[in-house]
This record gives sequence, C-alpha cells and structure tokens, in this order.
Amino acid sequence: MYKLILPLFIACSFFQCNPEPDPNTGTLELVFKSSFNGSPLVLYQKDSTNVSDPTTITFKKLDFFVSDIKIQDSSNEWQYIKDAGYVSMANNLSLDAASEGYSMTINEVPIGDYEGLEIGIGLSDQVNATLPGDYSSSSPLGLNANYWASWDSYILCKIEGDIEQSNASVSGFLYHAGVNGMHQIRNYSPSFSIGSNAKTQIVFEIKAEELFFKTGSSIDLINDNQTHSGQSGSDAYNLALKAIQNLSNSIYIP
Amino acid sequence: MGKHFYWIIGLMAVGFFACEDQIIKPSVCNNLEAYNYAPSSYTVIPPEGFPAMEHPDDNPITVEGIELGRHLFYDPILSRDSTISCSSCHQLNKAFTDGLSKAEGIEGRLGRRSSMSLINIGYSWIKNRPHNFMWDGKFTSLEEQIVGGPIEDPVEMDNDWETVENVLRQHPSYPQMFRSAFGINCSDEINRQLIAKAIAQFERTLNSAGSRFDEDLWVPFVYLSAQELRGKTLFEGDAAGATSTKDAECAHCHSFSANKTLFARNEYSNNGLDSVNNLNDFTDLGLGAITGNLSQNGQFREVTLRNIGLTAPYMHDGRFATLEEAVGHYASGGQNAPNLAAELTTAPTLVTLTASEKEDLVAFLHALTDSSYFNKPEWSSPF
Ligand code: HEC
Ligand code: HEC
Repeated sequence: MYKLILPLFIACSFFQCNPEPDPNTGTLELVFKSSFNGSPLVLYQKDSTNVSDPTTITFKKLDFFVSDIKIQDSSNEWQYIKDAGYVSMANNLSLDAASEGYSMTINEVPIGDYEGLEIGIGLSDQVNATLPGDYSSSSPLGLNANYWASWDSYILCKIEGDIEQSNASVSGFLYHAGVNGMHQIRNYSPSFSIGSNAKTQIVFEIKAEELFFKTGSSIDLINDNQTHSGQSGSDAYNLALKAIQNLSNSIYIP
Repeated sequence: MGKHFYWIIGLMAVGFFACEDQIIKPSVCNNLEAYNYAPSSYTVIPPEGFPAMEHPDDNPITVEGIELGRHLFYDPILSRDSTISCSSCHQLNKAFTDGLSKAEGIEGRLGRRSSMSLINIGYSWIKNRPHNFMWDGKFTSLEEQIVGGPIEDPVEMDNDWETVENVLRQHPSYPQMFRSAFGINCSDEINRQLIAKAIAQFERTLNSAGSRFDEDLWVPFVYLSAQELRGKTLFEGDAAGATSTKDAECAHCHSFSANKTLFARNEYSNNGLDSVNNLNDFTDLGLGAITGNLSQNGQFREVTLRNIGLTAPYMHDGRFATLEEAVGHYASGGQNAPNLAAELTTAPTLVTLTASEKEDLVAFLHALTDSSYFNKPEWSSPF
C-alpha cells in the first residue's frame, strides 16, 4: 500500500507540471539576427557607413511586427502557424547579445518535411483594424506602446537612431510605418523538417545597411530623416512604405 | 513490516519538511478557525475605454482582500514610528500623489524621487515583463513593489518586515481580517506576502476615467472646448481627420488607443531632462541602474498623463512646478544626450510652438483631470 502511495504521489506532481506533449508536433524557432556591414548590429554603437555622407550611423531601435507565418509541406500545402509576433532588437546592447539575436518560438507545429516559409512584415489591414484592448498584455498586439492612436494603427516597424555628417553635425532619424497598406510578404524556400517534440531552428539575417544604403532603394537620412506615416499617397506615407519595404527586403535566410 | 516501516518514516519526513515553517515556529498560534472564512470574489469593473484588467493568477481579488488592503494602505502602523502610511505619500484627491517634488518619509526624511499616481495602476502591469513599476522599472508587480519597496526603505517607512508581521499578528483586529481574506488558521500565518497581496488588491480597484476627455469620447453632446481640441491636435500631431501643421509629438510616448486610453506607453526613454555628453553622468541613472545597461542610463518610465493637473510637481525628481514648465521643456527640444529619444531628436515643429499653442497643450492636459472619484468612500481611509 505505502509502496504505491509515494511513487504515485511523485508521479502525480511530476505530470502535473509537464502535460504530455503531442507527439505529432514539434517546435519551430525563428531567430532574427541583425548585422551592419557584416558585423552584429549593436544598438547605441557608432558604425561607419562606408559612404561619404552620413559618415557614421548609430541605431537605437529596430523593432517590427511579423505576421501570418505559414510553412509549405512537401505536397505544397500551406500550414498557418502563427498570427503575429514582435521582433525586437532592444536587447542588442552588447556584441554577445547582438550575436545571439532575437528568438521567437512557435509550438505545436505539425511534424513533417517542409520546403517553404512565408512571413509577413508588419500587419495585414484586417489585423490592423483591431485594438490593443482586444488582446491580453502577453500579445504584442495588446500593448499601447505598439499602437499609434493618431492613425488608428499599430506601429508596424520602428527604425530609429542618429547619424553623423561629414561636417560633424549629428542628427536623428526615425521611420515608423503605422498605417494601413504597409503589409509586406516575404517568401523563402528553406528545406527543414519538424520532428516529434523536437526543436528546429531557422535563422534570419537582417542586413541593416540595406535599410538605407542599397543602390536603387536608398533613403536620404539627412533630408528625409523622419516619418510617422500619414495619409495614403503623401510624402510621409511613401517614406514609411519605402522604409518597411527596405526592411522586408533586408531579411535573408543565409 | 520492516519495509513498510521505512516507507512510513519516509513519508513522515516528507510531511515534516513540507510544513517546516509551521513546525519551527508554532509559538503564537492564535487560532482563528472560529471566524468565518467565506470570501466573496470581486471583478474589477473597467472604466469606459479600458479592457478587463489582468492580474497575477496567484492573487485573486476578493471583497475581503480589498477591505484589508484599504486598511493597511491607510494605516501608519506599517512605519517604524507609526507616523506615516502609504496614503501619506499617495493622497486620494491628488490622484494618489503628495504634491512634493521629493517624497517625505518618517522624521521628515527626504526621498530620492517624486511620488507617483496610483489611479488605474493595475493597468500598468504587463504580464512577463520585468520592469513595470516605479520611475526606473525596479519592480515587476504591485506585490513585489510592496514587499521590496517602502516598508524597509530608510527614507520612507524605515521599518523591518519581521516587526511589521509581529505587530499585525498581535493586533486586536487584523488577524481576523486576514482570516476572512485569505483563510489563514493561525495569526502567525500573517506574513509580508499576504500583506502585499491585500494592498495590491486594493490598488487594483483604483480605476477611474471620468475626465472631460473621456466624456467627450463617450458621452453624447459633451465637447472639449476649442482650445482643448487645438491642444489635442498638437498632442497627437498630424493625425487622421485632424491635419495640423504643428506636431508636439506627445502621443508617441504618452500613447493611448480607443480601448486602452492609458496616456502612457510605459516604456523607458530619455525625454531630455539633463544635458550629458557621457552616459555615466546622469545624477539619477534610472532604468540603467536596474539593468546595468549603459545606454539605459537616464531613461525613465513614460508615465500616464491622466490626472496630470492633480500631480504637480512633475518628472521623477519633481523639477517642474507647473505644466507650463513641463511643456516649455519639451518645446525647447530637450537637453542633448547620446540616448535622447528619437521622437525628440526628429521633431521638426516641436521647437516652433508659439506661446498660445503651448497654452492649448496645457489646456488639453487639464482636460485629462478626473475629479469624479474625489472622496470616493471605498477609496478613502477606513479610520
Ligand atoms: C515616503 C513616501 C512614500 C510612501 C510612504 C509610500 N510611497 Fe509609494 N511611492 C513613493 C515614491 C517616491 C514613488 C516613486 C519611487 C521611485 O520610482 O523610485 C512611489 C511609487 C509607488 C508605486 C509605483 C507606481 C508606478 O506607477 O509605478 C506604487 C505602486 C506605490 N508607490 C505604492 C505604495 C504603497 C502600497 C505604499 C505603502 C505600503 C507606498 N507606496 C508608500 C513614495 C511613497
Ligand atoms: C520620447 C518620449 C516622450 C515624449 C515624446 C514625450 N514625453 Fe512626456 N515623459 C516621457 C518620460 C520618459 C517621462 C518621465 C521622465 C522623468 O521623470 O524622468 C515623461 C514625463 C512627462 C510629464 C511628467 C509626468 C509626471 O507624472 O510627473 C509630463 C507632464 C509630460 N511628460 C508631458 C509631455 C508632453 C506634453 C509631451 C509633448 C509635448 C510629452 N510629454 C512628450 C517621455 C516622453
């Protein structure tokens, strides 16, 4: 009798904390690492731009929503695995932290072999029509901090920092896309499999120099240094759109 | 028999260690089981424009817990010389602040920072976020703030928790109240965690949003004055339906949404109070002192502007006596520092606000004052 009670007791308390995981699913970990000209991007650190003006750039914030994440299995079926997440480089305050990147874990992904991944940068207009009070604070959609009441929109991306010009003057930059019509969709073709109760990692690299300095899509950090978005078609809107497009295009699976 | 015997001994040992606390100090079990324990659950009613309040799972709110918390909040018994209570520095009709630039503790000891409003305070809790409360984000929960904050702070209540626990255990009425709130059986089960839970429950009921701004949103035919509306447009900037040529950029950091009108982003930033070239040079390191990250030195919490007309003086150190001064500070563009917030370094029209535009902004800030809760009996001293 006693022989049974104690082991039972231990067994109960053990299983209480560890609900039996579903053997038909596994975990997908998306890791976002940002770099500037090949080195991990450390916030509040001055980097030289390799262009004549501005000469240096200091990133202070690089945050954005990702949304509607889907994966494509070997029979070309798409599985929807996550509605929205928030990628934030806020912890990139040291080289170590920046090298580690930001990790987002998606649980209960069906096991199998996959060859496609789709990810939205920003939010669809449909999700953007919801409000922080509609969510709990554990969702990035539940935070006032991510909402821009002036345009009834979430702030889809935040890119902020300082630059230094060749004449030594220092000025700030801020690009917030926070209005409908900004959702970017990226498609990748990584081959990966999800194993039973196992974790699979996919690493993304954000090449931050491409936000501003890529030939053909560069942004003038000196004269067009700020946008909080605006009415569709306005200069502010077009600048915000360019910023989020550049962001989306700067994200690679190496 | 032999094997069974060992199992029995084993089980007893487990039982013994599980209740170690009670066994080591059973000395003053003033038995409370004769008193009724039938707590009534309580649901926080969100003010208009606010979602349901979230709170930690391990502190469900009850009517009895709130009542106990209110008593403790107003009782100077928590301070070493029984002279000050939470309410000394958090006064009801000042949106629970004290009107001082730096708080005053026992024996008139000068605090480090200015007291903070407690209206809608439960809404500043973000689940799983380490830095939710205080100017510098030192505490993650209201409970933690009470356990780790004012009671033992030498410039606040200067007491020690053992003393507080013993005094309450031997008190003529508190043990019974702890019994009805938490179902304890012995008075010596009163401890700092339960004290904190009760006060936090009371704090989570301090919700109100009855300002003229709120009326304008929710009550038909109440409108802000033309001046207040001009101030609102400046506050929000170039917004949909309110195109303006000037943008005071306030709403970025004192943000709100139609169903979460906090007027606080509750993140941390440097809003340009001090001019420093080196991030080590701030007199108060703010968030940086808590996290150890240099770039977070001089960053403070982006607090609510609700009831700001009631909570002078302003900023963590109470440096501005009036809202005019606070607005004047922003309109100057802010003092320079390597981590000055980007919202302020890229604010093209903020520095061009005219005197009358600044007055409009101040008028709008006053429209965030809520006097509807003044002297509310449930929030007032029970003594
Ligand atoms: C001597 C004055 C004083 C007393 C007494 C005092 N407080 Fe405070 N309180 C302050 C000050 C000053 C701050 C801000 C301190 C800081 O950021 O360092 C504060 C901050 C707070 C906050 C954080 C609010 C926010 O928005 O983050 C809470 C909650 C709070 N106090 C509750 C209490 C409770 C409960 C008690 C009683 C147990 C109490 N206080 C006693 C002065 C006081
Ligand atoms: C970059 C973010 C940011 C912007 C933009 C901003 N604030 Fe603030 N605000 C803060 C922070 C951070 C604090 C707390 C600072 C401290 O005490 O060190 C604060 C504090 C205040 C306070 C004092 C609050 C109190 O309880 O004492 C007032 C008043 C205020 N801000 C008004 C405004 C107005 C008006 C505007 C627009 C002109 C504005 N703020 C723009 C970040 C910001």
